[in-house]
Formats: sequence, C-alpha cells, structure tokens
Amino acid sequence: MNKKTFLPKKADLIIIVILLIVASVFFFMRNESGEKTVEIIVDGNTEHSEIITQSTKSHTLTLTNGVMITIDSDGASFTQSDCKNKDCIKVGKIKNAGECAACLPNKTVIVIKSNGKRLTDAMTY
Amino acid sequence: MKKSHKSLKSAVALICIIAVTLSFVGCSPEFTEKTSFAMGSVLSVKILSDDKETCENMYSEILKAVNETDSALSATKDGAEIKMLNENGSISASDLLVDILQDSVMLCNILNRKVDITLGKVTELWGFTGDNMKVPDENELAKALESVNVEQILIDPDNNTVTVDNNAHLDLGAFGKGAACDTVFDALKNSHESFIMTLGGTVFAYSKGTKDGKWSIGIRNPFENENSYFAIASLSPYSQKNAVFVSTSGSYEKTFTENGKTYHHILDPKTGYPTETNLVSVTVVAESGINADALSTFCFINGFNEDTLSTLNSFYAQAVFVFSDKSYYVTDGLKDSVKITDKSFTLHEYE
Repeated sequence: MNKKTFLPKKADLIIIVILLIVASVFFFMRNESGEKTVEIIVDGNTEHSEIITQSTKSHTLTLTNGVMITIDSDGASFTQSDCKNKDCIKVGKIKNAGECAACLPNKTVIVIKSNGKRLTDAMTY
Repeated sequence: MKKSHKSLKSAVALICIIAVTLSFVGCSPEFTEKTSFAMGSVLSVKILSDDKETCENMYSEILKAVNETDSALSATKDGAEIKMLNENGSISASDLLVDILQDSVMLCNILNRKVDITLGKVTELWGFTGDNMKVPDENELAKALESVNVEQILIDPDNNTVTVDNNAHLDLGAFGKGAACDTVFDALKNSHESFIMTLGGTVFAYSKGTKDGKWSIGIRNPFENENSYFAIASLSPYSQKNAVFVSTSGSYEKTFTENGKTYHHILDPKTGYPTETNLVSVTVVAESGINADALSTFCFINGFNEDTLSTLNSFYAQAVFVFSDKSYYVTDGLKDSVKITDKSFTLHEYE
C-alpha cells in the first residue's frame, strides 16, 4: 500500500497562523502591559489613585490628615508627616509594583500597583 | 484522499482548540488587591478572582476575623480582652481567646519558655507596646521579670474564664498576627478562591480552585529598607490545609538608640533585655500562623543550633536564618525552594 503524504492547503495555514497570533496577542496584552499606578489609602479607603508614566511631573499632595506625599514619573514617597519616628519618610521612594510604604500613626499607606508580571506574591518582614 | 482531508480538518480543529485555550489562559482571573490597617499594621490582601462581589465578601470576612482577633488579644485597645485581663487579673473570656491562650501556653511550654506570653510588664517598661521606647531602670526590670511565668495563666475552658496570678501581664505580640491568620483560615477554609494576605509581615497563602503552582514570597533583606528582599521562597501549601504560613522575626523592627547603643524589641524572657545573637532575622514556614509566629521568635532567641533545628523539625516547619555577617542558612526542606536574589549574601558555614 502506498502511503501518501498530504500537505495542508495554503488557506488552512493562514487560518492556523492567524488564530495563533490572535491568541498570543490576548495572552500578552493581558499579562505584560506593566502600567504602574500609585494608590494612596487612608484608613482603608483609597484617597488618591494615579497612573504614572514617563511624562508624570513631580508633584506633592496634601492629604486630609495633613500627610504629604510626593509622586513623580518613577514612584512615590512620604515627604511630610506629624508622626513621631518619621519611619514613613525614612522608607524613601517606592518604585516597583507590589512595594508599599506606610505611616501607621496616620493610617496611611502608599502602594504601587501594576498589571505587569511580578516576581513575588507577597513579602515577609 | 477523503481520509487525508479529514485528518487535516482534525488538525485544524485541534489547533483551534489550543488557540482558544491559550486565549483563556491569558484571561484567567487576576488578583484583586485591597490594602487597609488592622492590628496596628498594614493588612494587604490579594484574592485570585475577577468577581467584585466575591472579593468584597471575602475581604469583609478577612477583616472581620482579624479585628475579632485584635479585640481578643490587644493589650492596648480599649475593650480588648487581654487589656481587661491585665487590668483586672481575671476575665470571662470569648471562645476565641480561650482557644488562642490554650495554644499559646502549650507553645510556650514546648519551646522551653524561650518565648513567654507573660512578658507583658517587661515589654511595657521598654515602651515597645507604645511610642515611648527607652531602656528601663534595672531594679524595675528585675521586679517585672519576677512576674514572668506562663504557668501563672489559669484557663478554665468549661466556664470560659481566664485568671492570671502574681499580677503578671500578658503580651501576645509574638503570637497575635499569626493567630489572626489562623482565625482567617478558620473563616475561609472552604473558600473556592485562592488568596494571599500579609499582616504586618506575617504571610498566609491559601490555594484552592484556580490557583495552581507555588506562591512566591520575598524574604526581607535585613540590611536594606523594608521593600528590599534578598531571597524568594517558592512555597507549596501544606496539603492537608491547602495553606501555608510564613513569619519573620528581625532585629531591625521596632528599634531605638540610647547613649549610642541600638536596642531591638525581641526580648529574652530570662534576662528581660533584647536578645544578643549573631542573627539578624529568622523566617519560618509552618502549617499554622501561630506556629510560624512563635517559632520565628523562638529561633531568634534560642539562636542557630541543633536544638533550634530539631525543634523546627518537630513542628514540620522550615526556616531561613540570616546572620549579622550577611550570611544565610536554609533548612533542608526549603533548600530547593529558596532562590537567593542578592548575590552579596553568602552561605553560612555550619558543621
């Protein structure tokens, strides 16, 4: 018996390639956009949320509790607080997705969020 | 020829299925994150679900469980049971407090009282429960130390009463956040969504349903700021609970400097002074929150030795030790799971 080999038609190949490209675009768009958002939370409520980009200019926000936070294209930091030990200011600027800085006496926390891929799910300290 | 065409169609159908599956993988649920404050610390929760209502309900359950634990264990919050116990010497206690105290007393005894929850008066003298940290007067410290003995706690589980003799004060700082994670576990152990929560550095990860694979936990670099990690642990949940708990005790937390000397908050119950050790942090992975918390404190106080390692073994727990010379040691059960990301750390020499 003769074995015959059959090649897919050109149209089949085109459909296969298109399907794979579409699926890959969905996959990567979902996981790798990497946009960074600075979120400021006071006592559990989001008081400010801002997407930061290369063109974000440095600006300082004064929160309702008097705490001051500076945001720029790179990240965010506490710049003024009436807390005793100023631990929040000592943390410096947070830049990467998942990082946070907190002022416990003022119940204020800055978080950097991103829908890009992260190296860690959480941190123990 | 007909057969070949069928094969080709099957091949195209198969590829379509793969392509659609790939798309769905891309559309698998993302983490929904929420950050708040509880037990005087940052509470960060990530739930693996896109469903807003599910996430809101789960978050409410988590917050409720943590706040309930705080209302039982806080030594400073008005109306909290431990605060009332310290003030009055005896209270009618909630089921939650009775359960946590029974576990805590048992742990203190198993750990040879290297960790002792009756250290309250000593902690108060150092000011670690509030803002006013200072080196206490030697005589006052010696007197406070006389009240430290976990045997003085009398728990009556039938009548839900707790009495503390010798005017001792309880301080569950070394157990509280882990205990809160256990309360959350009890509330959400039948959840269909995976989630991970961090409460002041204690991590609890729960895997169910859509979450497969391992959780990646960054271990803080004790020599840098609080967002830096020097290693990543890839952790699978303990299979019988679908959960894993991680806690770190480090000498960089709650410190103050007086007359040129820096003091940390991990007090040795035998001396009443901050533990002197060549360790700077110990991270423990365990099957319950209270075990992770208690063991990380115990390891720090007891030091890096055979006794500490065998105690960890008896709890089916693993640990990462970091020393003041920037070396590290990872226990056998974690060796394949921990990746050192900061290459300036070196392996601790241990014979």
